[in-house]
Amino acid sequence: MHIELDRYARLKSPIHSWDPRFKIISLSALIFAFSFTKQLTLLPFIFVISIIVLLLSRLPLLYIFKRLKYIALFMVPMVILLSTTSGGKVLFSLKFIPVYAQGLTMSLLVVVRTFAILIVFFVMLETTPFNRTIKALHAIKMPDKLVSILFFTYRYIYVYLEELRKMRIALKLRGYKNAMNYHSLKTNGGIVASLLLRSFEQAERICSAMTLRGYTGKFIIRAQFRACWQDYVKEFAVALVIIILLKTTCSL
Amino acid sequence: MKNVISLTSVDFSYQDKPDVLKNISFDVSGGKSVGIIGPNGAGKTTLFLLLCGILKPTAGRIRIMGEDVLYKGFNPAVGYIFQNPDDQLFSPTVRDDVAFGPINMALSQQEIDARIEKALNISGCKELAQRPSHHLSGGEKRMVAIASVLAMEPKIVIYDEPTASLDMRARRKVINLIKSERKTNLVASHDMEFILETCQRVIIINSGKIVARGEAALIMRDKELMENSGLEVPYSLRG
Repeated sequence: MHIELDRYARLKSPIHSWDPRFKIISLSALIFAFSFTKQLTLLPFIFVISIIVLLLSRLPLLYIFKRLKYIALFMVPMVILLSTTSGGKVLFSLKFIPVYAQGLTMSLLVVVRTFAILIVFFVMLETTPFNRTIKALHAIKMPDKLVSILFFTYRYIYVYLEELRKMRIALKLRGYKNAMNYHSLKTNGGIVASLLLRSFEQAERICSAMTLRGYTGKFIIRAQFRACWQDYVKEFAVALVIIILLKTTCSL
Repeated sequence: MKNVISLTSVDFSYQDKPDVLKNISFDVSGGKSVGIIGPNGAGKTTLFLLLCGILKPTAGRIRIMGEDVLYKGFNPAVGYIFQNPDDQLFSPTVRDDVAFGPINMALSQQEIDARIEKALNISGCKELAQRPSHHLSGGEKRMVAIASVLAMEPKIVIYDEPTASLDMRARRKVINLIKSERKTNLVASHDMEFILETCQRVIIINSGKIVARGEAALIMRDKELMENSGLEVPYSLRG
């Protein structure tokens, strides 16, 4: 069983067929535009836009919502903290805890913006095979070192996840149960240390393998991307949304 | 036939482990397959890393095709297939990995494509071309690792434990591939039947020294020699 970063990257949708270079540039710009929004009145707009992007991508909604669920868990304490401690006008009180209007507004802003950004980000990442995304990043002049790091991360994260899985099975078979005690802490520390050492040793062997096949410090990536008129239309549509968003943000 | 590999009085020590290899000398002529056998820790992998120029001998001389091996240099004439294919398959997809060597050799795109196709066909990995490396089985990974080296069209191919953790079908594929490719092969393996089937000659290394060399069947039939070297006579040679 593999954990996949790009399980649905081979579906058919207007977002899937979009040239990954255009997709990365456009959707990243859209994410930035979302992050600049500071008015409550614009929140429904950015949320609807992100949902439209998600629907256009034809990604299974349940799959995306499952991913967002984990983010939501992190957001709950932040919302509680902001609403009850930010000061200003008290909107109402929950027994002795005051809920501030300003805090609630800020929370709403943060929550909606975060979800809208994440939805667009997941669509950007999940609608292209990850190796093609990396090649597209290279094509749009992302620094070589960063591209190489992404390449290796994508390739070897599965190797180490598999190692980790095997180690956990080995522990289980020898009667180990995770608990909040010194023994568990020591065991988990040992696993992390072992993975680090293995990865360090393997890195040396990989380096040798690359040298033997002519690697001199620069990844030569030859990927062919060909944009068509539909790619420009999609780019234009996103640019229009960004302009409207920024213009409204500035005028309000 | 002319010698393509020539080692003269080669010594090697690691900083924390002296005398890993002592006074190693042998020649291999072109087109021959030679098995390097010996117990774990005998120095087989170290010997291979010296031949590839990854390690530098502390004494002696190593020549490949008449030229001294360039330490840490790129020599496409020598292909090394690692013991663990995960060390070798570092690109996201099979095709990218097979293309890695030819691209670094600065070949034309047409030549690169031709070599990728040829290597994938020879190794029987054509249908795996677009698959991510982490989705392959152990046997598939092994064959792709071989394809990635063959795409560079090396004159000498070094196989380090090529049948480790392979099933019988994958093992047979490797045997057929080695036998069909008319290259100079150096093969290290604990699978004695495999060595017997793929190599004309063998060299036994034990504790960093060459203890025997000669025709594969003749050397491997010698029970005393094999047992003294921590090895076993292959089943097919037992009387």
